[in-house]
Amino acid sequence: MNDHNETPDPVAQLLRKAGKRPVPPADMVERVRARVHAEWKQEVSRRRQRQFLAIAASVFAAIGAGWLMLQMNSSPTATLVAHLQDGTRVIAVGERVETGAGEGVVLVASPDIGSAGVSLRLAPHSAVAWSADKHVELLSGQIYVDSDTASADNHMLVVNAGAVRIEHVGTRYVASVDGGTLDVTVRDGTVRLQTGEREALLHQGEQGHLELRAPDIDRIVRTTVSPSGTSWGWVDALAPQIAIENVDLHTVLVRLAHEAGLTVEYASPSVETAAHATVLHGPMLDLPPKQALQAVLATTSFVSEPTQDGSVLVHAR
Amino acid sequence: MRLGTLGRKDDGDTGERQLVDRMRKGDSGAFDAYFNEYFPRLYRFVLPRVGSDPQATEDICQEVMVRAMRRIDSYRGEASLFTWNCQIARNAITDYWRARKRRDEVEVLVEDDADIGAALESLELDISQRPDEQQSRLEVLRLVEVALDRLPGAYGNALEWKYIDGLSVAEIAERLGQSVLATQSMLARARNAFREAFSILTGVEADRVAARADLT
Repeated sequence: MNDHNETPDPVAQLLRKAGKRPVPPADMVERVRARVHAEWKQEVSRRRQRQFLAIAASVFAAIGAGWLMLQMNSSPTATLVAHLQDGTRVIAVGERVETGAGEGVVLVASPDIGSAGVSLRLAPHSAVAWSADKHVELLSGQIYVDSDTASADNHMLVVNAGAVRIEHVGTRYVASVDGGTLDVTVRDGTVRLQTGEREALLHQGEQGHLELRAPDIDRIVRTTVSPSGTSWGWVDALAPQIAIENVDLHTVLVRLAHEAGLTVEYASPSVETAAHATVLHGPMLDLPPKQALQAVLATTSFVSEPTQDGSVLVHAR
Repeated sequence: MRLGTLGRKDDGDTGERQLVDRMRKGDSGAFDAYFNEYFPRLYRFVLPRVGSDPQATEDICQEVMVRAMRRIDSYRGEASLFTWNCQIARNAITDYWRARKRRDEVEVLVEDDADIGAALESLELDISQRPDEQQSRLEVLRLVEVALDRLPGAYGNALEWKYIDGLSVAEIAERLGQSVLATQSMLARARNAFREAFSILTGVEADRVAARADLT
């Protein structure tokens, strides 16, 4: 049909007389979009958690039924050991979790297996299998273990890479399998590596390199790695969102710095006191921790600068 | 209320429900489509109701859309998505005027204040007044905007692109990601929908208003 052959239309005349409808200014659009988008993301996250709880409830019900069957038939049943942080899946012993080319995933260990406070971040192109309640086999790629230092001894989660057993001693570390080699990098705390009766400790900022085919703990190759360097990029990208609404600045800075492998220092006691007294408002921070830290400070009367020893020094503008 | 029915007699109801379903599932494309479509409409809805104050408009639009996100699970498609947002906006606008009353120490209750009441109820006046008898040229033209914003789906944008921006049917089809034939058909439905909406708002036919000399 030809556009130019249409009969003049009163609707067209009226619309032309009225002209274009007013549109909001571009800067207003961007400000409102950012705020609404943050709220939408939070709502999606809350919805997934609700769905997860519903799924978990039904799975637990199924397990309850399975337990009854077990009593009757003496057949084994699966134990739930973890769930994906976004609430889309629960993990049982014997199951694999794999990531593709896209984003990695965050797994939260179940308190029911005695690993409360332990979370795992699985990098893209990685695979793990839960071989027993507290044992994860790293099959390929990289895994980041973040344990609660306050309860480490009682909440151990062991990562196995071939014949090497990796235990956290209240720490955060990455284990990386690449071909026939294993690298373990410690962000803070201490990690114990074991093969048979032999063991070695790696401390904050250390990376240990081992051959997996015939691992010799006594011949571990040690190098130094910054706890806040660029090699932690994929880990930081999977860092949890941090709530700031009605939270004081000091608490938020410490949490963000912790996620970024940094520590917070203040230029003076008065600056620290002011940071404690500054209460923040706003949506969850959906940024990698270093960027989030700068974004938060930009809204306050404080600025920061990095120091040589891996700290972030906060002072007044 | 007659305006409430405008957004429901459309073939966009299913599309709106699907859009909301996709948003609930975390589809970023759905969020962008929702925001890009409804924020400008909401802006035009709020702006004249807060005395054309841009800061108040921004604050209220943001509050409305944030509330909509929090209540997204409660949207059942019983009203159009825009009507649903407008219902939330009316409450926010009422809160705005109440807060102003407190700040300014105004003694008169908001509903007793003729100007404020008129602003809050302007849409009701829009329906009851007859443009050929009472309304100014600007008011009639504003009602064209209101009618366009009340049209379902992409009807309002398509009409604006066609008759104000002068885009060809092929160009509109490309923007909408559909065939030229489907777009031609959609434009015909959009014209009819606009006629109906404008008639409901003003009480007179669009053809009659378009012919008025004082609008030229």
